Amino acid sequence: MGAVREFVHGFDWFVLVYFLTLNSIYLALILLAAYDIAHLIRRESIVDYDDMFANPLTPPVSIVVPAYNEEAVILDSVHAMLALRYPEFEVIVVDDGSTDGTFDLLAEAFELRAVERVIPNMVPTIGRVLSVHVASSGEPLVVVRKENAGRRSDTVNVGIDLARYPLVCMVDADSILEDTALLRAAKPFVDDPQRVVAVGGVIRTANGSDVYRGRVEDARMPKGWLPRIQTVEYLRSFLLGRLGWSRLQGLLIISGAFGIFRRDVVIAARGLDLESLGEDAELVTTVHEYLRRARRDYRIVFVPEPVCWTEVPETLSQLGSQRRRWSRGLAQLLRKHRRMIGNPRYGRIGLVVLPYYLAFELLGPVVEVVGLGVFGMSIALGAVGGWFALAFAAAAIGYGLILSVCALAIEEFAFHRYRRWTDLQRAFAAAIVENLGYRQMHAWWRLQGLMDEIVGRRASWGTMTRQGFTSSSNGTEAAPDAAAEKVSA
Amino acid sequence: MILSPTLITDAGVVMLVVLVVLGFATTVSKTFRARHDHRALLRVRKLRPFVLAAMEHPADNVATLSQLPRKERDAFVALARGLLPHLRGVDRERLVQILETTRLIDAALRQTHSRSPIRRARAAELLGLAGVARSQPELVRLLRDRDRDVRRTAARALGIVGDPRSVRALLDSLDGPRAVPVNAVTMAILRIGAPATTELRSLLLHGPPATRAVAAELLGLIGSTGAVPGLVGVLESDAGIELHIRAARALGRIGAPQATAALAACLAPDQPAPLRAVTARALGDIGGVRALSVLLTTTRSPEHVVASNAARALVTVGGEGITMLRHAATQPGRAGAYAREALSVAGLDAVELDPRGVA
Repeated sequence: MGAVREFVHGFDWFVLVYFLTLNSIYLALILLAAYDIAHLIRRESIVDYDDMFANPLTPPVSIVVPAYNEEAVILDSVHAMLALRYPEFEVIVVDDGSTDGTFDLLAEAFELRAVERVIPNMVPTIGRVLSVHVASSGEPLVVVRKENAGRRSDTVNVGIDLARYPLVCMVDADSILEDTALLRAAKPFVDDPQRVVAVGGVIRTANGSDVYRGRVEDARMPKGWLPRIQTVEYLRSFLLGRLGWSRLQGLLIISGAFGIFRRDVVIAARGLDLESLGEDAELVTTVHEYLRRARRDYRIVFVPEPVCWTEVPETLSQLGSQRRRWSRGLAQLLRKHRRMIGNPRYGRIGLVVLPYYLAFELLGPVVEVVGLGVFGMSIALGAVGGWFALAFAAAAIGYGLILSVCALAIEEFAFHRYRRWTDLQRAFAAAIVENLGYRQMHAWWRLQGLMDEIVGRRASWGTMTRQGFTSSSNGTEAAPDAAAEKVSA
Repeated sequence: MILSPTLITDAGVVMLVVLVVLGFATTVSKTFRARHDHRALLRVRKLRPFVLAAMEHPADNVATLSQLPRKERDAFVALARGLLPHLRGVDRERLVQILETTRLIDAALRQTHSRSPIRRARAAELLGLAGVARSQPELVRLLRDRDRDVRRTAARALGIVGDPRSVRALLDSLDGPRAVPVNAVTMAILRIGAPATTELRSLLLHGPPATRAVAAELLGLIGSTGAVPGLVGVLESDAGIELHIRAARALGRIGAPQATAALAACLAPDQPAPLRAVTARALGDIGGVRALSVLLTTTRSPEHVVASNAARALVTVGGEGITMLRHAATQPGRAGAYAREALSVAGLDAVELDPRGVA
C-alpha cells in the first residue's frame, strides 16, 4: 500500500510540474504575441493599404472555397468574398457533391454557365470533376462540381489544381472574411516576396454576431456557453498562441478556415494530404519539411488582424467530434513526420516545435486525464495533503484562468472587437467556466482521438450542422429548419 | 518540503492579484478608450468648420489655426492628412498654403529627424500628401531609414511629390540591408508616370540585374513605346530568365508589334516554361497575324499553363485566332482540349454559328 501511495504521489508531482511547464510555455507565447501586437497597433496609423490595392503588381489571389451542403451560408460567404477589397482575385467554390441546394443557390444568384476546363492534375485528387461553371454576371467566380470523396483535402486540391493565380487562399464556406482581410493577409507576400511562402489569418467565432449581406456588422459574444468558451479559447490559442509561434518562426498550424499559400510551394508539397484528418497543419509541416530539405530561406507568418469569422459548434456532440478529429489529425501528422522530430536538420521546427506538439499537444490529454484520475486516487488514499491539492488546483486551473484573462485583456487593449460591457462580462465568465468541466471534457475528446488513431478506427471527417448567420439588420434570423446538415464523410 | 503552505498561499495571492489587476486594467482601458475616442471626434468636428472657412477666406482664419493648442493642432494635421488625398485644384493649393503658413510643413520637415519612427513616418506622409517639392532630399534620405515602415512611407511620399529625379534613388533603395519593399517602390514610380521613363530606360540597359527587371516591368506598365527597342534588346540578350520574363510582359503591355519576332523566339520549346507562359500572353496582347501560327503550335505544349495561355491568347487576338481555335477544337488531344477551354471560357461556341441564324 505504501508503494502505491508513493507512486501516485510521485505521479501527482509529475503532473503538477507538467501543468506548470505547459502553462508557462503558453504564457511565454502570449507575452511574445502581446509584444508583436503592441508593435502592430502603434504602426496601424502609418501602414497604408491603398498603395497595395492600387498597384497592378500586387500578386493576384485564387480563393479556394470547399463546400459540402452549405446552403445555409454559401450565398453570404460568396457575396462577402466577391466584395473583398483586393486588386485581382478569383473565387473558386468547389462543391464536393452536395445533396442540398448549395449549387442551385449559386447557379441562380450568379447565373452560372458551364465551361470546359482542362484539369492539369498537378496535385493528387480522388473525386472526379463533373463540371466547371463561371458567373455570367461578370463576377470572378468559378464553381466546380465534383464527386463526393468524403474529405476536405480532396475538395481543396481540386481548387488548387484549377487556380490560375500565384497565391491560393483557402477559406471554409462557413467563414466570412472582412473586406480588408485579403489585403492584410497578402501584405507579408508583398513586403517579402522572396521568402514568405504562407500566411495564416486569425479566426474568430461568428456565433451570435450580427451578419448582414456577408459582413459582420456587430461582433457579439455568443448566447450559449459552449460557443462562448470557444470564443475565449480561439483568442488564447488561435490568435495569441499562433502569433507567439509565428514570432519564433515556428508556426505549424494555419487554419484551413483562412490561410494563403504560394501555389508553386503547395504544388511542390503535392497539395493537401488526402489521408490526413488535420490536413491544414499537415500541409504546413510538409512545406516546412520540403523547404528545410531544400535549404531555402523562407517565412511562414501569422497576422493577427485580417479577421475571418466562422461558425463554431454549438453542441457537445459536434464539438467532441471536431476535437477528436483534430487530435487524430495531429497524431497522424506527428507519425508521418516522425523523422523531423528532434532532427537538427529541420532547425527549430525539428528541435523545438514538433517536440512541443508531441509532448504537450498530443500527450497533454493523456497526462491530464490520467493525472486527474490518479489525483483523485491520491486524495482517496490520503497520499496528498490539502496544501498539495491546492497547489495542484492553482497550477492546473488558476494558471489556466490567468492565461485566458490575459488573452481577453490583450483583445480589449488591442482589438476591442466587442463593444458592449455585457460581452466583456460574458467573456470573463466564460474564461472561468472553461476551467470547470470544459477543459476536462476537451482533454477526454482529445484522448479519444488519439486512441482512435492508435487502434486504427475508420477515419471520419465528422458532421456539422450549419445554423446560418444571424442578422438583425434586415429583421431576419435563420430559422432552425433552414439549417443544413453537413456530413462530409 | 518544496511546497510549503506559505509558498502555496503566496502563489495563490499572486494569482489573485494578477487576475484582479488584469480585470481592472481591462475595465479602465475600455472606459477611457470610449471617452478618448469621443473627445477626439468632438475635436475634429469643432475644427472642421474652421479649416473649411480658412480654405474659403484664408486671410481671416489662418491666424486662428496658427494659435491652436497642441491637441487641436494634432487634430488639424490629422484632418489635413485625411482631406489632402481627396482635394484637387484650388482647394488643395489653399490647404497646402494653410499648412505652410501655420508652419506645419516646417514642423514636418523637422520631424523627419525625430527619434520616433511613427513621427518620422507621419511627417513623411504629410510632406508627400502636400506635395512639398523642397522635402525631396529629406524623403530620399528617409529611404535608408532604419525603420522599414518609414522607408515605405518615404517611397510613397516621393511618388506623390512626383519629382522624376527621385527615380534612381527609389530603384537604388531596392537593394541592401535597408531595402524598401518592391511594391512601394513600383507604386511610387508609377505615380511619377511618364516623366520617369528616361531614367527607367537608362537603368534598363545599365542597372544591376534586379533593378533592370523592375525597370522593365515599370516601362511596360507606364506604356513607354520609346522603351521597345531596349526591351527587345534585353529579350535577345542573355540577361537571364527573370529579366526576359519582365521584358516579355512589358512588350505585351505596350502592345509593340515590332517585338513579335523576338517574342516568338521565346516560345521555342527549349525556353523555360514560365517565360513561354508569359510570352504567349504578351503575343496575344500584341495580336497580329504573325503571332498566330506560333501560338497555335504552343497550344500543344506539355506544360499546362503554357498551353492554356497560348489558347487564351488566340482568343485575345480574335478574328483569325478564333477561327484557328475553332478548327483546333474539333481535334482530339491536348491542343483540342485547350482550344475548347479557351473558347468556352470566353463564352464563344466551338463551332461558328450561322450568321443567318438558321439551325
